[in-house]
Amino acid sequence: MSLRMEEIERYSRQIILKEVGGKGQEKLLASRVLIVGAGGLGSPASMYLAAAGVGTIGLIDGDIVDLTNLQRQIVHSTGDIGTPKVRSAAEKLRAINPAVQVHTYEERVTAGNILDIIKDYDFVIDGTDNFPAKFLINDACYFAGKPFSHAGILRFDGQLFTVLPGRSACYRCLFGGPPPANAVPSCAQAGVLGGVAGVIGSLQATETLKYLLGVGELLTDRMLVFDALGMHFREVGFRRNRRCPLCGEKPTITELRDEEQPVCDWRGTQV
Amino acid sequence: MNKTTYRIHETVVEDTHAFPREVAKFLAGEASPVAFRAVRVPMGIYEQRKSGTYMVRIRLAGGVCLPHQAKRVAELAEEFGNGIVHITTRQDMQLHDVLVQSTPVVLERLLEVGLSPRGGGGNTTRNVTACLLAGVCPDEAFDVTPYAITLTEHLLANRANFNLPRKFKTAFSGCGKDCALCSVADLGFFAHTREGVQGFSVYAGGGLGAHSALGIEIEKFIPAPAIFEVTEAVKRLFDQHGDRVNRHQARLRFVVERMGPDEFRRLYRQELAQVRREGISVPEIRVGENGAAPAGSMSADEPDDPGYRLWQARHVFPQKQAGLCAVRIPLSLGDIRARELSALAELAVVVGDGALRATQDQDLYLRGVPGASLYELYRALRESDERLIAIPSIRSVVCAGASTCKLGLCLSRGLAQAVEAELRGLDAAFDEPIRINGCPNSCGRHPIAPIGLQGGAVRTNGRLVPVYSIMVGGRAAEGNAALARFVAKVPAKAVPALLREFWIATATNRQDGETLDNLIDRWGADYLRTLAAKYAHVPSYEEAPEFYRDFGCDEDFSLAGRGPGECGAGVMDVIALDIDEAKTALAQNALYDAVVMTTRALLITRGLEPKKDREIFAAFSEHFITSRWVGPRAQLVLDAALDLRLGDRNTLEDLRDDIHALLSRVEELFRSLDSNLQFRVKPVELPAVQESAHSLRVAQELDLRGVVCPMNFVRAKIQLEQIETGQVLDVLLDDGEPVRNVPASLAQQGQEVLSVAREGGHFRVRVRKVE
Amino acid sequence: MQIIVNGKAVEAADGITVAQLLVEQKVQTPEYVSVELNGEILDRQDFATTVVAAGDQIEFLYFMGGGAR
Repeated sequence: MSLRMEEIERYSRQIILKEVGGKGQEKLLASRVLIVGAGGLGSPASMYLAAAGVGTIGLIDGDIVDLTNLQRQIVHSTGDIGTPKVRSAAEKLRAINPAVQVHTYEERVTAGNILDIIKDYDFVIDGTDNFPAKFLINDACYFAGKPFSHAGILRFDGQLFTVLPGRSACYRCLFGGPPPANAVPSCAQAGVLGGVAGVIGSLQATETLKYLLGVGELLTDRMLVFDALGMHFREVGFRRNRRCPLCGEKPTITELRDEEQPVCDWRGTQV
Repeated sequence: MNKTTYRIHETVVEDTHAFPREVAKFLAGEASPVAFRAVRVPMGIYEQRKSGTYMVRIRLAGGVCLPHQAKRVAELAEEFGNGIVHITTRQDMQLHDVLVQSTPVVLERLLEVGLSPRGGGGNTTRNVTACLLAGVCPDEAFDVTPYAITLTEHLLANRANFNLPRKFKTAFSGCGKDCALCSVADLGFFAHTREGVQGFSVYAGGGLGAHSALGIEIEKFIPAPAIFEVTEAVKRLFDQHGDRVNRHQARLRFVVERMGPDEFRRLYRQELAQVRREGISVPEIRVGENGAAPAGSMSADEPDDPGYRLWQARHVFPQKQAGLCAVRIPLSLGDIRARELSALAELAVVVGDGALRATQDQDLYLRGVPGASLYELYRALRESDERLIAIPSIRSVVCAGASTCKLGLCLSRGLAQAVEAELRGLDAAFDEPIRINGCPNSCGRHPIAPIGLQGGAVRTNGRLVPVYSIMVGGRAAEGNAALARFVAKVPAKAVPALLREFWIATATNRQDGETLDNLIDRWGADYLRTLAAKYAHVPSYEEAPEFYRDFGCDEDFSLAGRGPGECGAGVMDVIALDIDEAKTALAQNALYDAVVMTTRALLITRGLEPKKDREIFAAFSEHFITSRWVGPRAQLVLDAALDLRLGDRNTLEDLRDDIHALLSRVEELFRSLDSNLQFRVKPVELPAVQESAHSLRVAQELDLRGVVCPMNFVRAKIQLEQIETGQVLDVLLDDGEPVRNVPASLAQQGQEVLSVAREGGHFRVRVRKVE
Repeated sequence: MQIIVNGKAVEAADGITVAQLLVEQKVQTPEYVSVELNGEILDRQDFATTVVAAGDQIEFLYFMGGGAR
């Protein structure tokens, strides 16, 4: 047992849990989690994982902190405007827990870099805001055998589920491929309540911790759908789709590609 | 003319001015009742049994009360109380039925006349008492009143004196007759003159209550000004060694018991030396200000009035000052109506030496009354209220009783009134009062009396019956004191008739001029024993339901509904009785009865008093088995008992061992009760496990003393992770929250707690790793 | 007849197809909605031909992006 007294104290409130204990804490300290996107979902997710003592956290995001982010991307502050998001986030995570190693990747995920990045991690959190990235993450994790948490938010709603590639339903089991550009509004276009990002991002962190600790039932083969206005959580169950182009009986997607669907935001620029 | 009582120190003024804010916080819900209690009790404000009403206990040093003070107290009783002023057995004046929102103004008005209830209650230095004839008694070595007053001032000045391990009672007696009961005080001073020097012999560690004890001598003689350093030394010893955790063993007398008189004296001398090294300020003792000076005398007529003669014989005592008398105003149950108190205050000025004295027999005295003024006084008293000149056949000193006291078991005042009524018309044989106490505590001071009654309860035919134990032979005296001994126990309703028969018999059996305690020693104790046998029978409920009800109450006597703070010594005695009877039943092989008694015993601590057996079993199951205070096999016993009752079973013999184990466990739980009615052992202690040497190896010991919750639990958990399943770990934990929480948390997470054992000031918890 | 749509009981015409149900339930951007019928994800090309029966459980799954921006 290698926990120092300071660590025992710092993590005491979760060590108390029967399902965690000192052993569980050591597992967390030895874990590595990659968070794609340091925005609305990545903010709460990364903060809770850092607080819980996940030993290594990777952050990948090519964006710079913008004033419009601050309404919900709570890992960033006003003074960070203009700073690359991953750097701003890393600074806060280290302040929360200096023992956490934060690796930053100031770039966007592409078919060209993703496999190389995710290979060093135990779990991936999809905190992205665009569909091509979501499908890319889904595919890459399938090929690399990495479990991941998928999530999305819009207006007052959110949804998330966990994928164990090859074992549980993946994103393409539900949605064959991305919708065309502008077919589905983004947060910039339709808006989103900050708290909803907090709820869903925190749930992602929770799923991650459960996976790393090996406890509880993961949100696999079912989607949690959150309706903040009605304050309802719904669960929609599903199965692996035999006709899934990625993980079905006759896969048609056998390699990674960048889906052609640039992200469109109201400023009309692509960052 | 008397001019002084204790002077109020500025800290008391400050605390009084700060008090309204505390009340406001409590009323606004910003302070919890517990937090408020911690402030109001050391301010002498106690909650009465009827919630929302309070009593205010005003300290009177040496029992001295000046006329303007008495008038003010009377006014306050009228305006904010129930119109009655009560004199306590420690010479305080008490207001009753005061609403909490009125307490600030009451305290302020008392302060205006130089009075305070500070230290009237709580873990404080309580009122300093003095013998009732101090200053005028022919037998006294010298007047101790100034010392009681100055010591009070000295104690009030130090806030630390209101935060002691428990209450601390101090008394001064002018001579060895010990009318102030120094023999049973935490600190008692007996006045002596040695070679012209005035001083005191000092006793400490006396006290009445559970385990009454007589004080031990700690100083043969100290010069009078030394009382301050001696008091400080004893108080510090108490502060250091009094048990702040276990309220029931916290008084100074337990300290003496624990360490023995020799060690106690040694530590006292050590403290005294330290106090002397530090040097404490010694206030000036204002001797002589309470000396009597006659006011103008009135008419010199001495008519041939038989009522007056009787009164004079009974209530008038010549003082050492020639021509002056001390006059007793007998107060039934220590109560006087407000306007009568005001009238007395007037009389004290006009006829007496200008002060009233409250006594430990709950009476008031006027002193310095010239012989020539006696008749005038008698007439004035008679006009005010006939009861002020009453000559009861039997005097009594009574505790407040269950009608107002939360700890009270029996309605002692009801009994006192019934006794008074029953004995009316008989000649007043003795001046010593009979002392009546409604529970095994000793607010009525009965263990130090020649004849006393102590309230209790027994179970007969499945119902509770209020009873009184007759105790005799108590005596206060320097160096020759004695605690009363038990003679007999009779139902409460039988007591008046028994006493009447006894009193009549004393007339014929008393030898000339024999004192009561002599009479009792010689003849009375045995006679009472015989009488008690005659009156002990409790009829069935159908024959005489009144035996199952206490005096002044129409409902059946019951302990149901009592919570923490209401389960005092009396209730504890009832539980102990149930357990004893269960043991007897078990020994006599009445197994079913044993089960019923065992399971019923502790239900009172949960506020329950079910009558039917199956209700008792159900309540026990819910409160003790489900919550794992007893092991699961108890349920087998209960089920089997029910089966027996229903006729599905013939015998409980096969469960004899389990019944025995259950009774032992119930007794263990009972002994572990703390003052909040919490059990201080851990839930579900497993029976002794026969382990092979292999698996019971104690892997290691983890010392978590000084580690707070939840860190102690976390570290214990982590340590358990390091050892093999089946291995055993010893964890050392502090008393209090650690030992209450950690074993339970470990058990809750599936580990096997083998034992929780007290080891000196901490606990050793033995755990076996299960998972 | 009664069917369950997104966990709620609704009334629908007998013999209605999935495509028609999307219209009737006023689903926005029906072409980007995934439909699950009794636990199985339907192929988009089957929407017009799949008939909904009484007691069927239907879930509409929506694309939801917006995480980082």
